[in-house]
Amino acid sequence: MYGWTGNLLRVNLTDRTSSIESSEKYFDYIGGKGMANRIMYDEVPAGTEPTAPENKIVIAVGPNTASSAPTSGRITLSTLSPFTKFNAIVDAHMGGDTGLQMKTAGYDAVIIEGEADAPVYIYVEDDKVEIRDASALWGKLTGETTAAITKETTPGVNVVSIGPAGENLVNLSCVMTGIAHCGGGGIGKIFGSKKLKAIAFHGTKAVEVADPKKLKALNDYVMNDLIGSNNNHVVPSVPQSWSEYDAPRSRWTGQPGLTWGAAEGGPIDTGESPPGQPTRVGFRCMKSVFDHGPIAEKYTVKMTGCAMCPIRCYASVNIPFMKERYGISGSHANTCLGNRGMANLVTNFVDVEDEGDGALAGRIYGATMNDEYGLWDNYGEMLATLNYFMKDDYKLMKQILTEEEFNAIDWSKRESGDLTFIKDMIECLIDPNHSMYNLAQGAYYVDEKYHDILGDDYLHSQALGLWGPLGGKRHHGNESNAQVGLLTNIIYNRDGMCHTIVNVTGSGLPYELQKHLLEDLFGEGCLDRPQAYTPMNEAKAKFAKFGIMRQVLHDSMTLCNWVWPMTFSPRRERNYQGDLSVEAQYMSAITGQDWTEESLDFATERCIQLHRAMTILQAGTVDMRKEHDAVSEFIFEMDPDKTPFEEGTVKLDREDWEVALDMFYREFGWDEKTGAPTRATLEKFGLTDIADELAAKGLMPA
Amino acid sequence: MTMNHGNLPEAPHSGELNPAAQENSGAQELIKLLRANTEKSKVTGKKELLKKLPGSLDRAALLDLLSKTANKQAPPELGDISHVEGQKDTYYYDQTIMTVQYARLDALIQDKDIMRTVAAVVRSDSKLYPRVTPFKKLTGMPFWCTEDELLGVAARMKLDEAYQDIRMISASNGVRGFFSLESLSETYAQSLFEMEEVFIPDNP
Amino acid sequence: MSEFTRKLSQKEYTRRQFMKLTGKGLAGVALSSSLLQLMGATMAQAEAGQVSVYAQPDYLLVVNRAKCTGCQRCEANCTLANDGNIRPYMARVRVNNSLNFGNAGLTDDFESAGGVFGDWTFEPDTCKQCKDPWCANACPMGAISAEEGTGTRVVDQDTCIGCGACVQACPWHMPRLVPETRKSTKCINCGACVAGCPTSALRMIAWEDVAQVM
Repeated sequence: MYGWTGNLLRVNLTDRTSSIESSEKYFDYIGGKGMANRIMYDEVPAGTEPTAPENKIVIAVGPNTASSAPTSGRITLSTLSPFTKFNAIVDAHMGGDTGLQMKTAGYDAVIIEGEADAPVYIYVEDDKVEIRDASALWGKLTGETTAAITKETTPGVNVVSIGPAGENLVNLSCVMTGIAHCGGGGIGKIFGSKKLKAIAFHGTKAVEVADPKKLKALNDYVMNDLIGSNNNHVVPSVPQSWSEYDAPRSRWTGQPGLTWGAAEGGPIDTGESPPGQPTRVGFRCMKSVFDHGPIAEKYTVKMTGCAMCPIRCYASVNIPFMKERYGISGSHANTCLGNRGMANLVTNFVDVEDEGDGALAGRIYGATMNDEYGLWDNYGEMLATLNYFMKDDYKLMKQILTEEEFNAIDWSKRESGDLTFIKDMIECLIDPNHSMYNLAQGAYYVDEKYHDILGDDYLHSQALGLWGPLGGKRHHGNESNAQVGLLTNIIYNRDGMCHTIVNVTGSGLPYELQKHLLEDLFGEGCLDRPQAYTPMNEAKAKFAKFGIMRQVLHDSMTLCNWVWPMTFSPRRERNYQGDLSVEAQYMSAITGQDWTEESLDFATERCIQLHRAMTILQAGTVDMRKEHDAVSEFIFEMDPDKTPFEEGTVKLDREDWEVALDMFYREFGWDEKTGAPTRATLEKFGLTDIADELAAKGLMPA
Repeated sequence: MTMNHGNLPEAPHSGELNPAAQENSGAQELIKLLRANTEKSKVTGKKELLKKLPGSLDRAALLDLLSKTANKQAPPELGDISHVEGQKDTYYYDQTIMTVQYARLDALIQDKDIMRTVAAVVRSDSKLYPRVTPFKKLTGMPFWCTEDELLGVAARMKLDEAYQDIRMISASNGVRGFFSLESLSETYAQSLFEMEEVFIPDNP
Repeated sequence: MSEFTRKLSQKEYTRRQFMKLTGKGLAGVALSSSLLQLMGATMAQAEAGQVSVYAQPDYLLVVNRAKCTGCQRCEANCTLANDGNIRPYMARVRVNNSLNFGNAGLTDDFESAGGVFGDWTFEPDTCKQCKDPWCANACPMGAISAEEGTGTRVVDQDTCIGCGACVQACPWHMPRLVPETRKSTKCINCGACVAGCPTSALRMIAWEDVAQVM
């Protein structure tokens, strides 16, 4: 078999057994997210509580995972959301080496069911599957856990573990692998509820591919002609001699004179890495300076990242003075928001050697603590919530903590810049007996718990920044091409995580050039000038659908949606035209089946229709428009001095947003009134059984 | 028997110049110099070339060769050499290595007129992308202006008829930038800058 | 002397010269800036001992630890080129085992050691194509020999009995036994890992090129 391994591993923690089954019946759902979601539909009835033993965790890779295709290291973990309204299907997406080790151990998916009566971890080495005692690991931080399991098993083993946050059933908890790769979505709590400390993989098998020569040619094509930097930014951040354009916010930050300043043996220049030089691609993303500012250069040891990925977006820094000052090694890596963790709980940073190194130390401290405790920030929501409760001289915090709890915290550390304040807070947040624990359950549950003191303000506030009251954070929403970005946010039961649109708008190419390239794909009017948007149109609905489709495809086959799709290219010889057929070409070369862009789109859309139908079943309402897709009030009320469609705002217009939903629903074959898939739509994608269940439960649109 | 050379290029062969190339050794010396400078991200001014004649070229021969680069019937050896007109000089570069956009930028820098350089960059950014030009762009590669120089530029521009379209603004975090009123309104520029400098870094 | 043998002897001459010069590693050796440039390393890196050079019969192999980012594309490219599949465990160049805790392996004080849980030092283990090869010397069947022309140590698949002596004898355990065929497999200097390393942490420099700058 090519691409897929053909195997599902089922591990039952209740009776401590495991078995191997065929995965073939799920190939219609590609793999990764699609496959994991379908297994969840088949095996976990709607209405199951997230922490019940009947809930499952499905970890899945796809036919493309570990195929050597650039960025093919990712996995999807699916379960029921513990932290958003409806407790519906939620996916966590994680990089690192897990996809590689799990795939070469021989599995397309691992189904974890039941619950153990004492702490365990699962060890998978090819066909050998063991459920091992983890009582000595319970309570350990994620780094210690990885070391302990490595010691008990074999060098090179990949460990996916929870920290104390997951053990203590904190809603906003994650699994971690490597030093800092995180799978969020509250999945840590589900591990914890099953008393599952970790799952570890070691694989020695091959990923078989149908056409290795074609695969190699595709890799060369992507590496030479298509790939840019992180978020597929295709122009450098400063003018460079080979480039026609530059963009200060581009993540193509490598440049002559900018170095991995703390590299062993002296600084390594990141230099120029123009297209056509595949052995320099890894120097393009100088993320430490992008995320932390110029101060980070001298502390940057190197850039790291996920298996199989040439875009090294993990800023690996080492700050020697942190050991003495804060008792942590000061060596950490992360990317994007993960690079901040809870740093901004502290309002002042104390510089040590140079201006700005205090703030950098704060970020490293904050990131290290979150990752070691396995706490997930919900794309910044937890920090926003804590700051919301601390504003106005701790007004709300005083209301929710007991006097004893409040007085036990040394709040002066916050303003004096003592970073251990972050650790103090985390220890309260993960303590089920502390009132602050309630603030780490996700905004939806924070509001439910404290609605009487919060009123309607908190959940809909710009300070919190949710896409909607469902509880997911806005993630490249209306700030990314207005209606288009926000439409990509409303599909999920968490933050959007769709990068297709922001990768385009942030590419660094001039607006007119982007528009020209996109209008060929989606029609006139699909892309507005930045923060100068126009009323909704069908081209935008098509563009939004494309955004979701590619994200789901990447999470299913698997590729990294933080780099793909290759909508644009860095090559001026191509007039910056990317190639959207590459995913289908990879699928053909790898599986030996004949995939086209159209057939792959069809399979992808099946996964989206499935996800939507599952959400309706689990929500118990057909009215997605009102109950699920409703967006936060601040989106219509931000920028009070400006009106919608005025230059300089992405404030949306209420009526126009309803039109946007109409058009978006139409693109997916959903009932315009409710936003629910029609029977015809579900049947078109072979989901007749789900249509029957929806109909039986009165959840089919009229 | 085949030798396994992996994916490495063959070692360069020396001493095998063809006769036609030998006749044009003056041209080759010029090209070699221009290419070396281009590889260092630099265009080369005509004045500089005349001051220090490359290799065996005399002044007349150099001027003759340079004039041919502008000519569509240029000899093939000079085919890769292009030029841009600066305010103070004509600048030459190898267009297989450097884009014309970058060559124009470096010509501005080499003309050493900071006001003109800043204005050209800012007007282009405002019109093309559109975006505000943050100070950090101008303090970095390849401009290397200082923050104080840029504040001086902003002050002098206010007094100069030629730069009345250029405005300096600050984002809410204090980061400074320039934009041109020719392409962006004040409020639009302010919102673009706030998005780039405050919102996006906070929501990466 | 034929053209072939003339080239071969020049190559061997350069190799010997280089080995004489760098017998005890690169530290303290006066390397020309052109040679350092070919190696993609600075004098400081060479002095710090984090650039490993292996004088192979056909090439100088350079492993620059500071540039290795642990992406494991070298492993994937090795097996894709040689076996037509992706099988990092079977790759003839391997970094995975060293990634988390460094090349020296896991210690109790792992935060002070190598790897991503320590100070970020890790590098791919590679076949050194040893002058006096442990693997070939250990083979009871004489299945591992130097390929004519390149000197690369290769395994004759028909002669190999899959006993695993080569794997055990190699101090870095670089040969692997393919479980399905029970035959040994090892690096043949194809260069796929080098051509696909996104940060040029791995390089192979032909002796002809070394000769020009030495």
